[in-house]
Amino acid sequence: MKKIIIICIILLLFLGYTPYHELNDLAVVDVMALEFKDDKYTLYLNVINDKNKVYTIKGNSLGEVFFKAKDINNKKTYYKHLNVVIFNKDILKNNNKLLTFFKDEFTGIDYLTLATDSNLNTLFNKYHKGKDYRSFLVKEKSETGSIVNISFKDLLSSNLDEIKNYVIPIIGVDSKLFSKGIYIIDKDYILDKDLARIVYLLDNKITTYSEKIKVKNNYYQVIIYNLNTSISYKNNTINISVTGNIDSSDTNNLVNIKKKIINDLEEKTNELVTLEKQKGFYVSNIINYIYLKEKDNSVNSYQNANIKIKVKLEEKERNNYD
Amino acid sequence: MINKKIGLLQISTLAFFLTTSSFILFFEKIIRVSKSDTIISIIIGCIFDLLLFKVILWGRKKIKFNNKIANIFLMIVLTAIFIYLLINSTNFIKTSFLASGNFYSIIILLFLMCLITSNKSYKEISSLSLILFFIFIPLFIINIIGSTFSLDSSYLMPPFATSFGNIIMGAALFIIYTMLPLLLLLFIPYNEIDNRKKQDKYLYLALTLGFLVIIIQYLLLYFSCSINIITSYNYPYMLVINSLSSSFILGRFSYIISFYLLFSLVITLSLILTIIKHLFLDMNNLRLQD
Repeated sequence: MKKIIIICIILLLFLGYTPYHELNDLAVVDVMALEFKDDKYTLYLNVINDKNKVYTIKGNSLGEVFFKAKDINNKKTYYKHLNVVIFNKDILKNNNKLLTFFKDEFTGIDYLTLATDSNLNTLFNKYHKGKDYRSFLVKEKSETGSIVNISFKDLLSSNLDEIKNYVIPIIGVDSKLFSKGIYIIDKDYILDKDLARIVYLLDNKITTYSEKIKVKNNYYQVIIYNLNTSISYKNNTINISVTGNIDSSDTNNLVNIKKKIINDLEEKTNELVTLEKQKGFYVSNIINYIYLKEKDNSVNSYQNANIKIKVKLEEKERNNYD
Repeated sequence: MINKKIGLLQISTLAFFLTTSSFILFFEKIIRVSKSDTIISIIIGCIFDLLLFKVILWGRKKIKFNNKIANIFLMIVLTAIFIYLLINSTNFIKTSFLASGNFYSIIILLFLMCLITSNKSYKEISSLSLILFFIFIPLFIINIIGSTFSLDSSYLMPPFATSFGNIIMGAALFIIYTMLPLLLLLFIPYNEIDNRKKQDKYLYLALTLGFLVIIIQYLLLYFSCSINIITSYNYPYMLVINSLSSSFILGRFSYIISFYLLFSLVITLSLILTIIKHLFLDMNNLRLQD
């Protein structure tokens, strides 16, 4: 009995399970970008504890690239603080095993994912810090409502979804980062910013956004908040009801501004539904409501369904008392 | 005078761990069959389990393992089950906790640990299960509290989205995975329990508690990820453990908190080894030294 315990202890000592790592021996990565160009995979890594330096690794396959990325400057690459991963649009389109590779390579699934069709080298060398992307996402979501946080878990869920299409938010860069809308990967189609906002609105993922609109040759900054959408499918009719509050810097013209916003929202929602029917892709949440009732016949039902959209915005002064 | 009989609490905690032993390793097979209606399969399975458990309780009083040939056959079957469970447990430990570890060193360590715990008799294993139960309770409560921050009610789907046949198959799988470990209770002699009249009631309570824990664990999993993601992982419950670290103050200790998942595996493996040892000793008319 005692001999067994001694064998156990000796085995434990010789196995070398020492989980202690010096921070100086680790290259902690928080932002990563991946592209497939000229038959080669290129991986860009931003190492936080090396003064946010960018490292570029090339390889012929995903496995080779990540194998080469195991050691950077004699330091072990540490991915547990991974925050953002940016994919080139083409690598998502052409590679079915990409998500499976990421699922097996990294245990965490909370890092945010974005796509881009801009030159990844230029983008990453200009914006490679985690705080750049975090502040961009927060600002863009609250201001334009055309982008939301899509984590790897949401991306994987979107890929495995049998009803809706495989989508990812897409960004671009000129003088600063901006949202381009939603990229539908399996149809290779980009929905613009306004339609992307409607998609997120129908999914109740955004509750506020602001916009600059033109009414009678004048520009007004408008903020729409407390948004709530409800969708129902009954008697071959899809009923979409959007409620919210509206406020503007110019309260004298609020009635005309409200009419314009309501018209715009109804037009854009109609445009999105018509596009989904014509092109045969399903991005918004509408198809889920039909699927609950019609199951396998939901696509045909959606094509033949009538749409009824009602937007109701109330004028309410925001509490500005500080 | 030392009490050589197994206490009621000890045998019931042993039954509890046997009930929950197959959740972490084999539950994804049930979810793959009955998808979003797994909760219906679980409830049907629980009802049938409570009825079938009466047969096991009757068997504990009536069945005696005296036949030599039957004992040899049982030893071979139990050895095969032990090896299968050992390999699966090692795979789970290697995938979830020790990714860069050596498979064979983990299997040897696990085997040696089970060998030490099965060194004595049933009383020692049931005492161990009682101690582990008291460690299990706070870790499980911390896990529930930590996981509630990442739950999302939008994953709730309407019932009967899958076919009735799939729901019944899921229930059948649930019954098999929960009843098979409980069959090991047949080998623990009925007379070795301290208070014989009350043991049926305590064992039923343990079974109910085990089902409650399984249902809570399943609901935590169901509301944290979509069904598509759950079915694409081999050990989906680790997604719930991983979500602890991003949203909870004790999240840094998520892997230490998740250690309770291994308790039922160790108890089951140790019990199988003890049963094999007792069958061998009874066959050759030997007794353990006190």
